[in-house]
Amino acid sequence: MIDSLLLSQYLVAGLVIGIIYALMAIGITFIYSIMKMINWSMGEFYMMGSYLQYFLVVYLLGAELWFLGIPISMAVIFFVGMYIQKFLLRPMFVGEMERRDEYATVVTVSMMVFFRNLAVVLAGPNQFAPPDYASPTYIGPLPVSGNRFVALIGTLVILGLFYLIVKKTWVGRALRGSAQNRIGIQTAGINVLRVDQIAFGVGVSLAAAAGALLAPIFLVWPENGAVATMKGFEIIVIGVAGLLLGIVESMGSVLISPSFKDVYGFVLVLAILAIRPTGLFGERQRVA
Amino acid sequence: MTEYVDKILKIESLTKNFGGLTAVHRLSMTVEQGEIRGIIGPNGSGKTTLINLISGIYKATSGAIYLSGERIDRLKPNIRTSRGIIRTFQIPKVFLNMTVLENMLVPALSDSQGDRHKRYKEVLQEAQDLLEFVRLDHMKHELAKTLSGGQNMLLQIARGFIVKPLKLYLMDEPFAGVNPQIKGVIMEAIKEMNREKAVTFIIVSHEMPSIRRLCRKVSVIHQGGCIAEGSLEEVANVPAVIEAYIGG
Repeated sequence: MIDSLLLSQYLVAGLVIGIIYALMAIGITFIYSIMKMINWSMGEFYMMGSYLQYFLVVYLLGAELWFLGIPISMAVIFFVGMYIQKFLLRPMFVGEMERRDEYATVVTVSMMVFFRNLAVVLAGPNQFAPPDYASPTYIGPLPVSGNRFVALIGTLVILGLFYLIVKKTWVGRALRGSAQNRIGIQTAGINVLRVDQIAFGVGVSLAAAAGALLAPIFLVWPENGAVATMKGFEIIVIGVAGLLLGIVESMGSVLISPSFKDVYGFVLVLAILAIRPTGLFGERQRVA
Repeated sequence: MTEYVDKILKIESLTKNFGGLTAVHRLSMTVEQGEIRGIIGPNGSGKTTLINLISGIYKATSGAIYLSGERIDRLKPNIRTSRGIIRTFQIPKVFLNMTVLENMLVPALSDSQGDRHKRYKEVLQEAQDLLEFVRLDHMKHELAKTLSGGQNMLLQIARGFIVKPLKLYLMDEPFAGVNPQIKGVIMEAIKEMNREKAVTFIIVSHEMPSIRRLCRKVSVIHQGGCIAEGSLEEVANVPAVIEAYIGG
């Protein structure tokens, strides 16, 4: 029998990881809402963020200045994303291309394969672990891993900044306008291709932030983004109750077996889709 | 080019094909600076396609469009807006999850608007004045999705007035599905902006009474071409126009 303290501890751990997965989900939906395309290579930006963070902490900044690595990784990936959008994705919006979504799928899946293999070529297939960000701490009476606690705080700060930028700035208004009405924003004089570029940069930098924050927990290796991407898509289906994902994984690990940790989320998604095919908070739309 | 300068808009032999369908066929027309031009014609005659071509939503298959002597038919929609062309849509393209005031501020982001951070107070004041002008100021903090169709049309029209410079305003069915009170506000706004700011308007509409009150000159579009021009009374007597409307 598991005592309630241990159960609460797993519950908190799950909640923390659910919030962090939300970064990936927000990055995916942000790009989708503005560019109307799914970025299948999102996990590879997560992976690049984790490698960058590892490189910065181990070789440049030192373990004490790990927190500087997060914004630097985000900024680097933001610009990488902007240039990738400019050279690889922009052509789908220029001219009258049919099947834009298929073009985007081919390009982003190719990027996924390319970046994974590039990581193997540059850093080898090995797993790396940056030094711990913090020692274990407590949330109330519950002990929690220092790395998870730091990742939680980092995620909340990043989500707060993201909210402020999107809600309160001129650029945020343009981003929201593009998501709500792509034709309307162009005829209001806004360069929608520029907005796409910023949106892609911001979206992938959120993935990079998740990669950098989770580097000491889920380690740094060429395919670490695959799992993170799956979690992101799972949360999109589940909706705002994405925090459930972390809790289900955590509780499944303790109550059933940790070997199937990644399966529990899928079971949850399948159950939700079976009961509510439109997603937990989705609404039916009239087709005609 | 100088021959075009007194004409704010000159369209030369404009054609738009969609696969095998020709929506606009070798259409030529000119619009004078400060005019309020009506565009009329039966359903499916190519009126909205013409507006889409001028505003850059569609690229022309062939032909040329000049704004104040500058060729613009190869420019992107947002660049055309920065040159002074603004438009409305029959179904208002407002940002439904933004407040009315935020909707007004969006065009201030365009490339032509200069240092928007320095101009924030100025832009905000102008947005509020324009909302007052179209009598939507009491709803400025409401989300656009809570407005009626007519109010959204007013918001869409007011949003266009904030663009600088504003030379040519294209309106696609601004009176469709709008109650008489809002229709009156829209007509007053058009007349005042034309009189006070010398804005040129091109108005596509099926509402003949409104067109009669606003436009001294109309162009009749049929099967993608301009078949007649003149006052509403003049074109009503042109046999080709009668045939287009009644069918032959």
